[in-house]
Amino acid sequence: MSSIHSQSKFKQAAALAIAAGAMWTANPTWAAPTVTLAAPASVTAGGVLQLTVLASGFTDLYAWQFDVTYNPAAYAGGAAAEGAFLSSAGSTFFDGGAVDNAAGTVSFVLGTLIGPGAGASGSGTLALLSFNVGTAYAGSTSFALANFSALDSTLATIDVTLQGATVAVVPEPSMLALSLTGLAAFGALSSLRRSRLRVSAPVV
Amino acid sequence: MKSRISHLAGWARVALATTSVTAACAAIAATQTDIHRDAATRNVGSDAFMMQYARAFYCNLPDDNNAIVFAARAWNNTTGANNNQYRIPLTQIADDVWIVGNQYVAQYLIKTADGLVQLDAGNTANEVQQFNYPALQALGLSASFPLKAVFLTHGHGDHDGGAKWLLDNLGARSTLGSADASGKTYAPTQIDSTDLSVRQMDIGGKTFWVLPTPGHTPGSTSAVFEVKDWGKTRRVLVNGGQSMTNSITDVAKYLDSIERTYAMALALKVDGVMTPHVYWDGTGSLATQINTTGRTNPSQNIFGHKTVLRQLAVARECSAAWLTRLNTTAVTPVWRYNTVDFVHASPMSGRIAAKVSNGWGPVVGQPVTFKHEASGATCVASTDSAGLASCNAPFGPFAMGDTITATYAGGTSSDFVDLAADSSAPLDNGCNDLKAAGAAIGTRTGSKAYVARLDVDNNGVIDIRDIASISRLVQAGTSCR
Repeated sequence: MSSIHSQSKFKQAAALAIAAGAMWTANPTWAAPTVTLAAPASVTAGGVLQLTVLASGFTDLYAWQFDVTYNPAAYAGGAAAEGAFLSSAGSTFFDGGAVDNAAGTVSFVLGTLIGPGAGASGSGTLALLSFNVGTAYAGSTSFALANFSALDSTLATIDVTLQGATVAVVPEPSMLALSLTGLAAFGALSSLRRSRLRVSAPVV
Repeated sequence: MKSRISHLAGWARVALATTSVTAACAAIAATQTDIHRDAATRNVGSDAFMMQYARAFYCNLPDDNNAIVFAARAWNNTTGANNNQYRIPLTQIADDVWIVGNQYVAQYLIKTADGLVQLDAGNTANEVQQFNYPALQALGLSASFPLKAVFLTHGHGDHDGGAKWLLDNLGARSTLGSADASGKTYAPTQIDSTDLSVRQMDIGGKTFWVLPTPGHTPGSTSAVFEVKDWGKTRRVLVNGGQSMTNSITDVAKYLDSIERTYAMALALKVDGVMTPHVYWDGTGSLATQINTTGRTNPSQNIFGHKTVLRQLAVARECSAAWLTRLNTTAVTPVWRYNTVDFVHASPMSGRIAAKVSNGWGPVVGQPVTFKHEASGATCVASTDSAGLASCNAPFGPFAMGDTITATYAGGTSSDFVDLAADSSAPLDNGCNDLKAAGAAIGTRTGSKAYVARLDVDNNGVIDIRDIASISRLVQAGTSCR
């Protein structure tokens, strides 16, 4: 009896755990809010990269602030523009922060709602950052969020999960074509030299 | 063994207790001179430049640090032959004022419509002939544009050493306090040193407000005059004499002189300083800065009215510290330099609040008068435990841009003289503070860009929490773009 009772309790607990898991999955507001740097997988050297700072799963977001770190050998600029998420809840104040292309940082990008109302809930874009991609760099580099702060309308801290981005810099098409042409020419020349060597070599 | 340890621990406790009691007694038994030296430091506030120069030099005697003055005397290069780096070349410090001299003592050359006026006359005839004369020529000295007069701060040789040469060769007569005039070979025009009031004088066609300030010498005279700085009229103070003597009588006069100089600077809204002993308050380093990176706007010598008053409050406390060192029975109340600062998002319609504080903390339970300058309407509120006074309805509402002035009238007790303070600002919708906080984000206490009144949570750094706190006070729907 006792054993049956235990099994029953175990089953109940397991059922509750499964239900809780299902609810966690079904209701995104239960998940920790996330801020993600969204970027294309690759970008062309000499082009422009736009990073989107995406917020998801927020409730009552009133103000936020972050830094972005990047590889200054590959990127410059970092001009920031306000996204639409916070302004969905009212008028806002936005500051694009300070860019340091030597250190590879955009510091103190911030936004806040104005007035005593409630914050923004749901998901959307906090900010957009534009970077000029260097012409001399090739390879993958990372972007990361740092010093992130998010406050609700009572000015309490909102805990947030942060996700950075990795972007591959690929050569410009013209450079690629030039490189391929050069490679092909080099290959042809090598082949010709090899064939000439074969023809002119003395037979011993 | 255990007993022995316990016994030792008991003695240690007694020793500790004794140390605590001694420390407590020391705190209670702080001398007048300690109290005033501490007050000088507290009056500096967070001004690192004032701490490095004015606080250090005005307090050098009570701090037993007069070695810094002896060291500065080595910079008194009068020939340019050696230690040439201590010479200050002719340097423009305002639209119509130049400085020349050395890093110990300098002279100021003022250009007027029809000639020149010089402040102080250098160390020697040779020095003024070698350096001041070419400087005056560079400024247009001629028969039709003469050096019309010389104002002497006092009769010491490092200030009037070239006065005879300037009279004999350029026809420029010096003006000197009467108590220093005896025996002078250059027959100065005399200012009555016994009349301790402020009065206007024409010196070489230039209007000076003169104030006899005995103490450094019997005939020391301070003055205020107007200069042009980037087209704006500014009033600057020339202090009659900086260092103190060992005479209780003279130091008491010096203390009184500084107090009267403070009153003059307050009444005339002085916002700049031109000190002959340029090392004393850092004006020598500012001349070097001008020669390196150029004049700022306002120029380096235009410290700002409140900074001039703060510096004099520091000087007053240094003087009180020295007087009470020399005369241990002397007791004088501490002068506390106060500030009135509109708090974040104020003045704003529906939020007019200011904080009164000083180097000792918030000023509690004191009246602050808020005045709408356009209409003359006033509201009086008392400061709370945080030093905060606020007036809202029925005071206002007023139009955006209207000036609101907050005034703390000061007060006097047996221990303290609380100096009056005020602040004016245009009525805003809160956006100015929001933008200012955005510009200051990340700055910390001690940084020049840090703005204490925008650090809402007083954690020593401007961060998003401060910005959001200000933002919540702004009316919803306001656009701050």
